[in-house]
Amino acid sequence: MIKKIGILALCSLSAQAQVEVLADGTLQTEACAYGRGSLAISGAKAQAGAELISFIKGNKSLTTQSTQQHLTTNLSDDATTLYEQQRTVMLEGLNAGAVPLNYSAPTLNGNDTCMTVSLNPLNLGEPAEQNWQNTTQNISVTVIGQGWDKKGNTALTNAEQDALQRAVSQVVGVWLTQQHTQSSSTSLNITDGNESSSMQELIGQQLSSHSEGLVKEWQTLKTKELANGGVEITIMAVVEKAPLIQQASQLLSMIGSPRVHVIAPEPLKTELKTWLNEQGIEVGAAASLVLYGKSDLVKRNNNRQLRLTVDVRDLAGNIYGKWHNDSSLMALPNDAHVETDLMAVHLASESQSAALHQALKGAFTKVVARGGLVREVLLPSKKLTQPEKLHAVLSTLGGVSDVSIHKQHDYTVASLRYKGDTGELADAVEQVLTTITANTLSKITVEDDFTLRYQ
Amino acid sequence: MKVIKALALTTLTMALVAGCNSTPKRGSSTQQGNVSNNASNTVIAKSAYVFNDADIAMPAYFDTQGLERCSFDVNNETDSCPLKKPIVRMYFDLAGVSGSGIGVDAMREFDNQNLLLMLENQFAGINRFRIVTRDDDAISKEQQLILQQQGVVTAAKRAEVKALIPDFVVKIDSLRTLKTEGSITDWADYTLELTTGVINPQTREKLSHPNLGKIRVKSEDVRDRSELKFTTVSGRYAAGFHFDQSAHVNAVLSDMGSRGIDILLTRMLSEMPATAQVLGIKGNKLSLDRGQNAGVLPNETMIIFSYEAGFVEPLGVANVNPSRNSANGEIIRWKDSNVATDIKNKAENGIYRPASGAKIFAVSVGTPADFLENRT
Repeated sequence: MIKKIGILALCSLSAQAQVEVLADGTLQTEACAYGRGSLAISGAKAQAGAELISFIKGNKSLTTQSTQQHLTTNLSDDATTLYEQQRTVMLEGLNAGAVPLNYSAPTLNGNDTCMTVSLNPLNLGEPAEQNWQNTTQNISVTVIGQGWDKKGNTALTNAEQDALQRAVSQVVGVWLTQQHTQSSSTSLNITDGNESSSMQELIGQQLSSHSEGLVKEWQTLKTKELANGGVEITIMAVVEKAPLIQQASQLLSMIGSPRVHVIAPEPLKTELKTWLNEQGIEVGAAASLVLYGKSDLVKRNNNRQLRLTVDVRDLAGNIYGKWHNDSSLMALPNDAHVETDLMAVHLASESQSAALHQALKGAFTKVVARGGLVREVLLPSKKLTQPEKLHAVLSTLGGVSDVSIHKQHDYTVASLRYKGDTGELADAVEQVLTTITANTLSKITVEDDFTLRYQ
Repeated sequence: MKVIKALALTTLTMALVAGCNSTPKRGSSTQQGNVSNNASNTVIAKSAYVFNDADIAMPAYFDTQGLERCSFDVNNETDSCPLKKPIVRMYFDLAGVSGSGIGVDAMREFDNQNLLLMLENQFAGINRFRIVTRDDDAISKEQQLILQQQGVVTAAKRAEVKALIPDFVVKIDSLRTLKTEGSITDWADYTLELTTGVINPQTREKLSHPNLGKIRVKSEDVRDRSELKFTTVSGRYAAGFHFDQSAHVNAVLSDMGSRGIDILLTRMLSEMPATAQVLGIKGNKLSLDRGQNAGVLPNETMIIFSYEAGFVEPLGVANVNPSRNSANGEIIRWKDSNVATDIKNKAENGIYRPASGAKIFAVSVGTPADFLENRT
């Protein structure tokens, strides 16, 4: 009798919810949704899922009465046990959309798209646990360095230097990747693998000059003689994360927000300045980077399109990056405000502003990659006692590169790239220049971010 | 018995001898035809209600590709999906009229931009192509209004969506001619000739399909000949049709252009018929797997045919009305054949669904009978 009630109860329920229970315990239902394509398919899937949930829920209330009885009549014992065990998992999983359902190929039925969905309790596995490892203070890396006799250092010293730089670079890479995956608010948007690796190289290269401060300890694992008197060394280095992150962040922020001077016709200038401020990039006349902007209206029959170009240059005329808009974005009927309107739309457009931002970031990154911004040191020519040594002396300064010297009226001008800020450079220059200049030389004055001058 | 044998032998011998003696005659598979310069006319489908048994035959260009490979995402459809429609940009090219003579100056000034927009509208309606409009003024005006009414952020967001890239260029080339008698009382006879080319803009290939041929429209198709009668005095206009004023001439030419486009449309619908797969037949009722989305038009006359192992077998003719994604129709006349009767019997007792081996399709026979009345 109980058996019979059970069968009746389940049958009536399955007829109502249109869910069939197959012999192996698989629950199966067909559902239809209006329309065609993925939207209709997902609609049908959702509908089928809902029907399966309501079926399993409804079934639960019958448990005390008869389900056990009924299931044993229809299903194998194994399937029944499994079904009983998995009921909660199935319910929770279906609600969360995490249960693997089997879907048939969709079929067309008039205006509807239909599909058969089945759930096999056998396929349910335990949800996988996510493993999060706590990050440690130090990171140990094993790296190989190579070196040859050069610049008065032994091959071994050079190999060690090389290995340490590699260690730092490797850890920077790990840090950048982590930054990328953990938060989207890094000061630099690393969008793809390529850019990430170029940033890693760049920062690693820049930081490696200070590797002694970053590598806490290291030990030689293996040394090997190379041809031409070279040495290959394998070391295990422990890199401290805190100072590394600090220095790398500094570098990143320097790339992100140097001061920029904007030269552009109005209203592009105001638009650009506002935009730069919104991006946290400082604007000022005394900047060593200049943003040149140009805007043109392009005639398209009765309508107008806008062509914008912006490039980033330093005071020496090097161009670090260039952006031009996609003028196909919008065309407006020709009237008095057409240029302002178009410009507003172009700068409000996400893709355009992202491209501009990207171009500027790229330009600023290039500035760092090239060894910092160009500065000019102006010395009164007559107070220079050993002008022939100026180049060599400046070149020995840490962080200075691309030194060139030229005359300008009464001044000897040394133009150079420096990685740090202008104040730091002034101090460094002052110290080294005492040996080759007259005593009457004045104190160095920082005129602006670009010019350092002696009287 | 022997006599019969001998007789038969004799007859055979005689026949052989006769055959040897006759000289072989050269056959001919071609014949002379006349090139006509008559005005073109429309060819439209008969209504399914007036079909007789012999009329139920297969039209050309049916396509038995199913919807299995379709993603139903209009912008991301696979090439093998029959719902994928080529994206086209349309051009209406009016060959310049050079020379001088009576009425030639007035004919020269003809604005084809509006004819182009009309062409775009009419072609969009038959849903064989996706058309990228060249109505730049309306678009830019609309963008300006969005900028005014919704603000710059919304306008910028909207502008991010790019225009469709055309797969093909549909170009209507046209030729205008004017003929007059040169007498004091005269008639202006305008002729407009249209040809259509479908061009792949990358490879510069002109495609062979759809082949819409040449359409010739004469002024007498759109105006009574007496309306174009005029009188000149010393070579100057005196009375009658204003052959020398562009507004009057354009009125005639626009009507001719419009008629030409109508003919073009009907040819297009015969060249590119809509095919749909039959999902089921219940009595005389049909359920088709595509509708508006495949270009099925209201009151479409469709031939129902079964398709098995490369052979098609017409089953009947139906009157079909589309919904958005599917279509429903009624078989008005079943073909008098065993296959058709078999299916008809099966469908009488419930829903007949074609078995997996054989498929049933419906293909339109051309422009629906009431199309010209209601849509042109």
